[in-house]
Formats: sequence, structure tokens, C-alpha cells
Amino acid sequence: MRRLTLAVVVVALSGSAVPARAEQAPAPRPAPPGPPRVESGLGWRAWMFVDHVGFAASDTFDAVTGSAVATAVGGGGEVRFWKGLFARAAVSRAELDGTRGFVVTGRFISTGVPLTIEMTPVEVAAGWRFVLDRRQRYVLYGGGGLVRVGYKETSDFADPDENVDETHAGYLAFGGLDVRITRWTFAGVEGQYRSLGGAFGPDGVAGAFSEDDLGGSVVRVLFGIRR
Amino acid sequence: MMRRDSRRRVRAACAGLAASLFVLTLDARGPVQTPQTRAGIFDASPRQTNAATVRLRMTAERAARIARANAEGLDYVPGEVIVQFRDGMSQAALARTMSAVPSASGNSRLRWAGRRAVLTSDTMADAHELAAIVGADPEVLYAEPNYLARIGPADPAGSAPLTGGARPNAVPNDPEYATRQWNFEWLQMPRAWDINPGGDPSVIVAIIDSGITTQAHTLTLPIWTGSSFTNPLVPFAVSPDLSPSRLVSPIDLIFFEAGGPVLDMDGHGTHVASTVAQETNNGFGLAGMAYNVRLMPVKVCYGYWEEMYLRAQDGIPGFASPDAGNCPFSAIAEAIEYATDNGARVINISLGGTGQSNAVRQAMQYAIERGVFISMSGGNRAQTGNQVGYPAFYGQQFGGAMAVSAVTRSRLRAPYSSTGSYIEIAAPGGSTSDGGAAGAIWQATIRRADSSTNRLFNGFPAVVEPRFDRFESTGLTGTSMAAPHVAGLAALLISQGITEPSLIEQIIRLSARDLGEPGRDDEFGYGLIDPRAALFGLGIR
Repeated sequence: MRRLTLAVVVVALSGSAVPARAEQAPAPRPAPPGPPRVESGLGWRAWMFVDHVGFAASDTFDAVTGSAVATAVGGGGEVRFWKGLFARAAVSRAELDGTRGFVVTGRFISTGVPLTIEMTPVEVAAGWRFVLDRRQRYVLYGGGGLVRVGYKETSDFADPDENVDETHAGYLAFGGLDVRITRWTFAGVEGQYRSLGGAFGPDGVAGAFSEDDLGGSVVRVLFGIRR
Repeated sequence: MMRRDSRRRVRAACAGLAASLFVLTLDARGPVQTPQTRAGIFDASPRQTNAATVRLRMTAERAARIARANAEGLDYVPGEVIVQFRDGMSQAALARTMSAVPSASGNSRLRWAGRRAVLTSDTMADAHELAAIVGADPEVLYAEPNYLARIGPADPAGSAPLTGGARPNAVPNDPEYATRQWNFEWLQMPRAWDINPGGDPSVIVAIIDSGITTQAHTLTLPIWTGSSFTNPLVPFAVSPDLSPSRLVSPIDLIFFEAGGPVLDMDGHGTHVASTVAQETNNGFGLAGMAYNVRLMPVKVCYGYWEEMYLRAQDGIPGFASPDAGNCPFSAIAEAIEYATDNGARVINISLGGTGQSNAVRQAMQYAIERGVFISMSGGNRAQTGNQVGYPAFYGQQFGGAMAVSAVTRSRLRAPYSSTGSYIEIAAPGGSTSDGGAAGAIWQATIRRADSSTNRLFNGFPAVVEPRFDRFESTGLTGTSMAAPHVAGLAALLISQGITEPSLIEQIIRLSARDLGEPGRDDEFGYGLIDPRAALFGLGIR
């Protein structure tokens, strides 16, 4: 990184050099060096995060759990292996409580039977980081990848085959900003969009609301270490 | 001629004597001495018999008119119309209306039945004609014949003593549950009861039927024995598998005046009530769908024995027709409104006729608007012309009322079960054509042999002096038996917190198991009820 910075400075200085004759004239103010566009060399990050998930199947989750949003916690890591290019993986988990019921003319009627939903998204993605300032304190990043969500629904009074335990795959796109706090630590905020269409069939509450997507939008707050 | 006159005088004297005795004195002589207990037959001991005088609502004259309707195949009470007056009608206007009624001499021919009146003409038997005359009055919103409904089959498919003792390895522990109640096993009731065990006692289900005996009584009732009138003590008892504490706000709207006892002299009402809420997990007899809810007995039907007593009261010798009795729509409409005003959340109507009635329809609307769900038998006319049944037909017009067809234990439409666009749902009604007597719906009710209306080979009645204090397991078939399954399910759903009648109907539909042609059809409606699925609900997935 230092080498890269030095090179940028050298190039900048050489570009602004003047002939010796002109040394008598007042020296023009040197142009400020442009910010480095990428982080230098190899590196890695590891982080923990809290997700604020807004479900695409908002009517369904709002009806069953009382809210169309959920909170998930998780952790992940990334490896930067060439310029700004990085690959990352993360896993999170959310648990929601609700009740079973029926949808009658667009209205959810609870039967009062407790229902617990567990979701475990696993993300594998790649992206690019853009350094915003010379000191590489602010880094924008973006990318896309695959997400695989472990989805469980368990209900009181259910037979084993009435509970749901399955996985669904889809894709995600993300973008965010992280800020270096100390030399080794950073915090960030990220926005994410996940699409997992076809996850819900026609027979449940989601089907009654004509919603089949287990994805949605995510606002993620991260805190981690970097190198 | 002289002899005839003297006979008439004797008859009149007998009538007077019978009438004086028939100022039905609830016997003050203490508990009745029940005859010897037969093995396996429950002999109830009356807990209390208060001295009281009860008056009759039904008259022999009216019973005779209804008997004539039965004999002539009429579906209305001759000479009777139900009248709905406009709001705020004055006494003068009422008098004008009355004056238009042939032979009506004043208010004495007008009887209020809840929010409506029943007008009677002595001279104009054709109720359609009478309704047209009365309905022409501008003060009258509508006038219609007082149609008749009938309750279901009189002859049981089978019967057996109620048995006690726990049955091992089963839930519930009622000993006859596993051996007779295929219908509950079939509906997965134990799994439904896991979710809601028998409903909540705050829920009241009104049984509009032939009554449910709510208290042990011994009545002195006049009866024709074949050669003379006698006044035997007739014992009544509460079903041993229905706790009296769960029978609330009973009323008789057909036989006794208000304040009198509610007595089942047919057994149909008790059987229907038992399907809804027979005591369960008490190690005795059979089970009921919503065994914790309370029942409101509303008697609107009378039968052979009531008519026999009425005839004896008037000194009319001879025996009534074995199929005597009926349920006037005026009483049904009044019953629906009474049940609504007295806290019922579910009404079961296991009876029906073929006449359209604004009064009953209006009463149903009144009930549903006040949060009452109504389950009605769809009718047993599939093999006899398949006429549209009322009030079942009105179910499709309301979210919160359902007409129920009957299925057999092979999940086929019962051969008698009416079909049509008004059938909304199906439930077990049983049939002896599918499994013999075991294919019937078995519940506890009064012992049929004690009050049988059957005739012996010589035409003489098998029973002359009935009793109504012994109970047994009885297998009956009909849409009358199917409807209380739906009423019981509605009571469980209300106990689960789903209280709007229209939502109850929708959930019963959505959770039903489709039978017959895919989707709704005229045989099974939306399919067979699935209580467990209705109570369980859907998950997200």
C-alpha cells in the first residue's frame, strides 16, 4: 500500500516538474494527488453483522409474524486477492415467532397455533472495492453472488411431516461503505437485495397472498477486523 | 242419536277431567319410583320436582290442523299465516288488518311469535290465499303461510345400552368411542382436540329441535290407552352423558308456554345435541365434538306423544298417526331470534321443509348480523324428488350459515342426502346402506323402545304409556346428524378465537377435504369438514 502511495506521489511530482530556467519564477502550487482507486495488495476482512431484513413476501410475514421485517445476526469473511477484487462468504440466522392461520378475502385470520420460523441464509459472493480517500479510510464496495437459505417452519401440534425443513437458492446483489476505525478494525453499512423466487408454494399463507419469494432487501451493519 | 249425544257428553266430561289433570302439575310427590333397572340401561333419578303449573302453548285444535296438513301432504299449517307488520303500526291499523282476516274476530286470533305475529283463520284453510289477503294490507310488510319443517328419521338404525368403564389405549376414554364413533375417528377429532380440547364453556350452541330434557321431571299426563283415558306418571330425565349444568336458557316454543319444562319426547334433539357436546373423557358412553361448550335447548318440534297428550286433553280417543308432529316455521324463526338474544354463538337447525319463508330468512339475518353462526341440515329428499330444503337454501345467501349434506363412512354422498346449489359443506350423516347399523351416527338419546311409535301387527301401538327417563346409544342417519358436526366445529373455532360467522364459514370451506368433482359441487359443497385442519390453520409455506 505504501509503495502504491509512494508511486502515485512520485508520478504526481514528476508530472509537475518545470525546466531549470523557470526556477526563478514563483513555483506553482502542486496539484493534489488523486485518490487511490483500489486497495493495494492482498488482504482479508472478517466481520460480524446485524441484518435488518425486509421480506419480499411482506404481506405473508406481516400476517403470520406481525411484522414484514426481521432481524438476523451473522458473520462472514472476505479475501481480497487482486486489486479491488474480493470474494466473500457469510452466514446469518433469523428466528421469528408467529401463528398459523387462514387468509380470507385478503385478511389473515389466526388460529392461534404457534409457529416458529428459522432462516439461515448462506451467501457466497464476489465484488470490487473502491477506495475513496488517500488514507483509505472510506471504501465503497459492490458485488453479487448466490444465496442459499435454510428455511424451517415448526408448529405446535404438527406431525413431523407437517413441519417444513428445506433450502432454497437464489441470487443477491449488494453494495456498501466501510470505514476504517483503527488500523485493524472497521465498521460498515451495506444494502443487499436477495431474490429467491418460487420458494413458497400455493398451499400456504404465502400462496394465498400470491407471494412466493423468500428474498427481500437487507440493510446490514457490520463491524470487523481487516488486514 | 241419543247414544251418540251421550257419548259426546261422556267424551266432553272426560275431556274436562283430562284437561283439569293436564294443567300439567309437575309432580310434587317426590322422586318417581323408576321401574326396575335393566342391565345396561340408565335409569335416571329425578333430582328435584317442584310443584308448578305449566300451561300449554299448543292446542289440540292446532295439532289437528297440522295433522290434517300431514295427511293431505300440505307443507303449511292450514289457516295460519306469519305476518310481519311495518314498524310503528298503530292499534287501529292492527284492528283493520285483523278485520280483513276471514273469521278473525280480533286479537284473540293473533299470537305474537317473537317479532312477528301468527294470524289464524277458522274458515280459510288455504294459507296461500290467506297470506295474499293479509299481505295486501299496506301495514303488512309481508304475510306468508306458516310452513312446516320436519325432523329426521324416527327409526333408529340400531341401539345399544350405554356402557361404562374406561377403554384402554385410546383417546378419548369413552368406551363406545372406538367401537361406534367412526365419524369422529374419521374426522381426526383426537388431533383436533389436541389443539382445542372440547371448546370453551363460554360458547353456547343452541339446538333448535325437538328439545333436550334439562331437568328430571315426573309429569301426570293424560293418555288414551286404547280403551280409556288414564293419567299415568311419565318420568323424564336428563341424559346421563350431558351434564345439566351445561344446559342453559332452555325454552319450549311449541308445546309448553314459557316457564314450562323443556322435554324431549322424540329423541332427535338429544341425539343432535349429543353429537355437538356429549360428555367426553368421562369413561362413559360416547363422545361429542365440542364437549365443553354449553347447550341451549330450544324446542320447536312436537311429535306423536305431544299430540297424544293434546288429544287426550281434549277427550279425543284413538291414537295419533305414528308420524305425527311437525315444526312450524313461526317457531323456528322465533327460536333463532331467541337463541341470538340469549347468548348463543352457534345455532344448529337439523330440520327442514319445502316452503320459502321470509320470516326464517329474516331471523337468520338477524342472528348472523349479531355474530351467530348457523349450521343447517341440507335435507333428506334426494330419493323423494330432491326438492329444495328450507331454511337450508338460505345458507348460500349469508356468510355465516351453511347447509350440510351427509356422507357415509365410505366418503360417499349418503343416498338420501339432498343435492343442489345450496349445499355448502359435507359431514358424516351415516347410512345403513354403507356398513349396516354400524354405518349410522351413534350418540346417546332417550331409549326408543320406551316411547316407540311403531305399531304391532294388529295395528295397536307398541307403547301406550311411554317413559323418557332412560337412555341408550342410538344409531341414526340423516343430514340431521351431519349438521351438528359442523355446529360442533364452529363452536371449536369460536373457542379458538375466530368469532365472526362469515370467517367461520370461510375457514370451514378452506379447510375442507374436497370430495366429488374438483371444487364446489352440488353433492358435497366445498367438501368434507376437516376439524383438525380448520383448527390447525396454514403455515407460510
